[in-house]
Amino acid sequence: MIVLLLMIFATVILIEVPGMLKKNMRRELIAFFVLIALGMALSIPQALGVKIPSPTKPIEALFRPLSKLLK
Amino acid sequence: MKEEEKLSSVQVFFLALNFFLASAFILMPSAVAATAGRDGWAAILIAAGAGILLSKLYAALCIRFSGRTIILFAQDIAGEIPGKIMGLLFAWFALHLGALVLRNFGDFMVISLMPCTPLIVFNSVIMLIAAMAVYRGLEVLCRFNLMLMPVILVSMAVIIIFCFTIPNFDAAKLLPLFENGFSRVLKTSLIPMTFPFGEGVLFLMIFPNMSNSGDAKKIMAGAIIASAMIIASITAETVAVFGSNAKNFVYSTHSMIRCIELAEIFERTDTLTIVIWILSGLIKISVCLYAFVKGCTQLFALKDYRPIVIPSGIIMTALSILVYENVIEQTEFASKIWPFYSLVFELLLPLMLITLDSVKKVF
Amino acid sequence: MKKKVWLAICIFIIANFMSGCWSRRELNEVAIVLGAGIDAIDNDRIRLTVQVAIPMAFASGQESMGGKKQAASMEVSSDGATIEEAERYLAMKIPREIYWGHCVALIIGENMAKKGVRTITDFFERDREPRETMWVMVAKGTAEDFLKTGSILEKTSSQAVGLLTRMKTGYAVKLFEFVEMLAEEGIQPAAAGVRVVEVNEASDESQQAETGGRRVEMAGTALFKEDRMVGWLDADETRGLMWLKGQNLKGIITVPAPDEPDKMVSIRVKRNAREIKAESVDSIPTFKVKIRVEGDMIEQQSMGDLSEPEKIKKINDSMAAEIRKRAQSALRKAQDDYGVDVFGFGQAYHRRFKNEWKDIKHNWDDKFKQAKVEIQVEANVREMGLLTKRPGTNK
Repeated sequence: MIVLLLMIFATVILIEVPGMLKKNMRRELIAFFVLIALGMALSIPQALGVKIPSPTKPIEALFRPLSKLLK
Repeated sequence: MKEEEKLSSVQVFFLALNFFLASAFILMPSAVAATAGRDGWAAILIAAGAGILLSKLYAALCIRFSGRTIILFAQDIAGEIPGKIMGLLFAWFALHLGALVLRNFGDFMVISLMPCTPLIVFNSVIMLIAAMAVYRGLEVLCRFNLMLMPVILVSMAVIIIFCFTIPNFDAAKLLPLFENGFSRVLKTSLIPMTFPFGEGVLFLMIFPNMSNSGDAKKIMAGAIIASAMIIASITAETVAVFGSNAKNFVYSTHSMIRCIELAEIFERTDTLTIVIWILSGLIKISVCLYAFVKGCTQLFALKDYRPIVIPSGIIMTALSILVYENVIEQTEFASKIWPFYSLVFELLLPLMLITLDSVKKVF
Repeated sequence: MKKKVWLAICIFIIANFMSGCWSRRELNEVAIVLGAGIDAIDNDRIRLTVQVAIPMAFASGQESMGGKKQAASMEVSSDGATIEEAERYLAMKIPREIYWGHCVALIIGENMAKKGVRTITDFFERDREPRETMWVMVAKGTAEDFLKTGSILEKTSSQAVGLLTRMKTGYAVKLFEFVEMLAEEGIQPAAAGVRVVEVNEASDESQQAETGGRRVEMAGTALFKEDRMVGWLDADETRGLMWLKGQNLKGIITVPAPDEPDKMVSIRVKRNAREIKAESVDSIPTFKVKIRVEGDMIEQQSMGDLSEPEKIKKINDSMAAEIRKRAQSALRKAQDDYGVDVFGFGQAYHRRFKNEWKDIKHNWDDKFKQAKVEIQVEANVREMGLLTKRPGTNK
């Protein structure tokens, strides 16, 4: 599972990065790696079985009082 | 960078129609039946009215800042830093919505089709196709959608017509109207207003690419009316078939389609639901992904959006797996939290921008 | 270059999915359930009996080489606290994976029905394999016994009752309709009744041996109060129930001929519909039921010329009277004897008086006992077959 995931990340980097380097797109490169890092941060712990808090939870806590209006 | 892609009005109309229909066709009947009972169809029609008002707001913004997306004109109106925060919020909304739709998509496949297959398989396969579509560009996405539209609409028409033949079908089950008071229906209409009609706010990222963006209002209103008719009729049909039992199904449309047995020949048609679900779910996920990617591109002033398509797709997939732990959390969030949470992006944000702009113009 | 890499990746991924399905089940690995039976046994446990098709018998025709007939199905039972638990015990006895997708009938044993069926219907709705369109029936006696009875014309008893219900000769109800009646207020459920009878009609001995001299047949209707069975309607009363529910029905109405009352005329029913109008007279629910029936005259015993408008009108009237009688008898039994509203009068009342309904819905069945029901029948003979009058008439 984790190997597969790392393979996917490696392929994506291999496909995208050479083109960007050739065209000298520095900003894109930074954005690309930031997003890849975020993707890794979200997916690798899941593959390893580590629980990441869901972003839904704080949203739920924030809007819970309003939901009484619907009842 | 390639020349700016231009879309015709017809293309955007069908993109919007499919976007509104996608998951609502399967999910909406049980969602509204849970609180409005047999008057769910009325709540959808009311919501469509509200949705048209919302789309008027979006179209007004689009015309006022023609050629610019919400990410850019937010910075014009509110200044650079607040505008960027708004843009970031908007991009988050697109990402979150995409993840939720993706999760719904996978959940349906797991529950009704292949219970032993892990969720991630469905989610990543569909995301792969969506990412490819977005990678090719908006125009390709629209043409792809035009190609799928006949299949989707014909399948829906077949379903809607054949459900009349279920022996248990009795339109009288829709009576009495508004038993628990009209206010109940009004409250319920908040659910279909924010999902799917209000989600049209993502089209603020697409309007600038239209060759004739003056049509935006007409297009959105048309798509909302057409999709509301389809969703309301399927909702009414589930009640006519299942009576008050309709609210107990997770996917009442799907359960109803399972009951079709026309002349003992035309039966076991559940595959039709899955066809619709895959094809239109794909488009909706693609639109969300496009909105997120385009938003990020403009937010960070990138030259090309394509390099970040795949990383965004990975983020969306990972998010779709971790948003809910079980199906109970999902229904809870979708029916109680989403209507208010999404309103922030669907109503509050655009309304704030347009008021700020008007105030600025006066002074 | 980039394109080629993409292509290679796509081919690699697609090839993985093309090689087979994730959790595939080949036809020779599944045990296809044709019918399921549920009985109540001691200690609140249930006995699940499944009738599993033997594919060999279906594939090669019934006669195998040795001249000995092969059974088309086998029946296996096991006990458990829930259906799913019993199913897991079954899995220990059946070497294949149990597949519910082709289950045509859910047979509920009489004592299970009397105990309450809410505990057992859930599995069949919740699981994605069993279809909502299977028939729900209550067996007189045990469901296990019923399923173990063979059929001569059909291969298995489940198929036999499945086809019998399709003939629309008796009241038939599908699972989703049954569950809806359970859930809905203002109507009580009813389900088809089936039974095993001892007969001696097989033409030769091998057939006789195969079915054990027994046969399955439709036997009236089981009436429920909430989820507990309270009583039976016989075949004639079942007709009345179907008239009153507006259920599509194929049947014959036999009435005396207008010219010679000792000879009979038979009319085959083509269409029927009903309409309920609810009213409240002095706060007593009053219902006007209008039943419309259309049929063809298919047999005449008398010699008179019936192709005259007045005579047809007479036949119409006696037909209406006959239908009314049947409907009355079903109504009386449900209303007076058992006190259950299986016809949906409560629903009609609910639709008309939604505010009053809130007060009476909890004891609707008691209220229904006092309700006045007026039955009006409009019967029409439309066609007369291939003859206008019998040869030899008015000689």
